[in-house]
Amino acid sequence: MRYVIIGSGGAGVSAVEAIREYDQESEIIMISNEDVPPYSACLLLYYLFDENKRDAVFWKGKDFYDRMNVTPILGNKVNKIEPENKKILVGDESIDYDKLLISAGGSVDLPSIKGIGKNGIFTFKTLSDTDNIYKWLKTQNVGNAIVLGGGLIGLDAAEGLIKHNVNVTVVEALNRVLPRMLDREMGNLVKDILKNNGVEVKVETKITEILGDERVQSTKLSDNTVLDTDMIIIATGVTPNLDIAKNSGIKTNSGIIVNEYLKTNITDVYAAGDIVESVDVITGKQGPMLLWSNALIQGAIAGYNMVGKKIKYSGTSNQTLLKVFDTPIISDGAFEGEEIRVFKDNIHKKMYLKDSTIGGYMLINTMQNAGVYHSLMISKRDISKYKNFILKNKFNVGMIEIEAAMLQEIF
Amino acid sequence: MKTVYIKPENCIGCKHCEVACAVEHSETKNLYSAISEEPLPISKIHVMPTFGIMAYPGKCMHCDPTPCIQVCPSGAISRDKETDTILINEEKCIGCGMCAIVCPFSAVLFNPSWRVSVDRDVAHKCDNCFERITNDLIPACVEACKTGALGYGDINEIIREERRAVGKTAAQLAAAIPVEEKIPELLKVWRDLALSMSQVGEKK
Ligand SMILES: Cc1cc2nc3c(=O)[nH]c(=O)nc-3n(C[C@H](O)[C@H](O)[C@H](O)COP(=O)(O)OP(=O)(O)OC[C@H]3O[C@@H](n4cnc5c(N)ncnc54)[C@H](O)[C@@H]3O)c2cc1C
Ligand code: SF4
Ligand code: SF4
Repeated sequence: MRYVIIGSGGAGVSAVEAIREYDQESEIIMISNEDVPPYSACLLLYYLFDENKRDAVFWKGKDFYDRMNVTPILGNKVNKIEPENKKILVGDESIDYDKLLISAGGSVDLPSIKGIGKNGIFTFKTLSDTDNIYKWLKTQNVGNAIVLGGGLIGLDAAEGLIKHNVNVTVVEALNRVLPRMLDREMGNLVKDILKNNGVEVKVETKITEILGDERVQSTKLSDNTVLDTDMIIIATGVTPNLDIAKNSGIKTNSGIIVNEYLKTNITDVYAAGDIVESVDVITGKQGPMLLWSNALIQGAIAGYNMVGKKIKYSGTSNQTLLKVFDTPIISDGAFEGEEIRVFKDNIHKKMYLKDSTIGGYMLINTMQNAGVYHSLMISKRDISKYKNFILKNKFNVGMIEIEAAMLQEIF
Repeated sequence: MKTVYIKPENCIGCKHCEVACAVEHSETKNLYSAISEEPLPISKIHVMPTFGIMAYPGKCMHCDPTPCIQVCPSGAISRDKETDTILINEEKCIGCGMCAIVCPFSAVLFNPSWRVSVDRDVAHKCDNCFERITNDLIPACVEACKTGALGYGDINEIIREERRAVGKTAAQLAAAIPVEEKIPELLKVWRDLALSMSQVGEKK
């Protein structure tokens, strides 16, 4: 038996661990176009904070491949899958597989802006992106930077650059930062946090042209301002790397289409992580989930199914946590229906109820009860009894547990 | 598999377990010196007021499957196979909070750790008193609990016992035999007292 895994991101790594739980003997080949041990994308920010922390990004240790008895093929791209021959093509080489996992993640598409090809324009998605940012920071006298896109990766990039004493302006096309996570009111609160920490934020703004000779010099915005610019980080969103799937007969939509066992339309070919089209169990929305937790869970489930365990992926919500200058921002579910809110002492909580169950919530500057809300939401528990104080500090998991105990008539 | 189990009906909210836990996880492991340590040791078990006078000692339940392991981006959380304990490697933890927001029991808190650094928050949660249980001692909170709200034992044994008790009560009820009180007498007295005290000043 030979397992082949495309991509060494969170999903791929988690699949290897799942396979090895049941099968220590079979061959596993892992292919990545990046020539490094597996690293955690969520830790890139900590490396951007401090160059000495580079080794910390290798979350499973630099010896992962040895330890897991995996044959890595690094620095090489998979060009094509030939399902009819059960082969993949890597460069000129062809590799047979018995079971294949596509966990090739996504990449940042560069928008078509005039001047986008100049030097000094980066993405912040991979370890080599971060290495390149460091090289630029060291060799160029960087005073002013622009981050295009106010999503999770954009705000991480902004915070990282601020630590290097760079003036940072975040440019966001929509009317708020973190548009996928927050509504406008909460987005504005995050904007204030950014401003208090020295990050300039421009919403409802686009870059119209990047000026300079070879190297970026200034940037023209849609509000007609021109900003001096020494570097630009493009963080406009991640799209799944669907090329290899598309030219191999694997069904795709916004991502690879999989069944509840994370199998594609082709026998013995599975997919997991950012590359997959998932369904949000709360909002019902279909699309790539683009979340670390989802990548790990899907990777593990795909791995179990590849070794022959029948394990269903039951789906998840879009629960997301981001720390903006140490302030936790949490968002989960959908923001429609009856609203309850508690805004007090710099802590902001909003929750939406749908037929007596939690439909979604946003929390700023607190993590208290987030896990409890999440599990009550996912399990669609009737919370009408707690409605008046669920967001207050006195609400706690003990109440749920005591209630459960009472229902079992322990008392 | 052995585990700490909670009998909420026995908890009177005295917080002895919290103190014992904080001391056990301090650097000096001594109450008098622990209170002057920096960072100040915190408890990994949390006694929470719930309805009326009921309290609930909440802690990590060492779940399986384990949401916190599934999401940790730094690989800091693992399961010890021998004892089925979920452990956090404080050196590796970056304090991102992802484990906390998926924990259905809100069992993870953030505080600096004497093992790492005084100025960096890391994730804290119950470790079943790993050092103690691997040295044949019972967890500190269980040792401290005087009402039997916390116990330590084999999970299957506990379930079996609980079943037997429920079965017995049901049989007695059916046969109209007077049912034994499950809650100790003194606890009942304390409860009644606390209940009447909690109603002082309440509008009737
Ligand atoms: C800076 C940053 C911060 C983030 N912060 C958070 C956060 O706080 N919370 C959160 O939930 N999520 C966060 N994310 C998102 C999260 O990291 C991703 O959802 C997750 O990494 C997806 O894992 P994956 O394995 O599906 O894909 P990836 O991690 O993208 O891995 C895919 C791998 O496949 C390789 N590959 C691609 N194509 C090929 C090919 N043709 N041949 C060979 N190899 C190929 C790639 O090089 C890569 O190594 C963040 C992402 C970034 C970049
Ligand atoms: S920290 Fe929470 S999620 Fe993790 S094992 Fe403990 S109770 Fe379960
Ligand atoms: S806070 Fe620490 S233990 Fe928890 S998920 Fe983050 S790195 Fe892992």
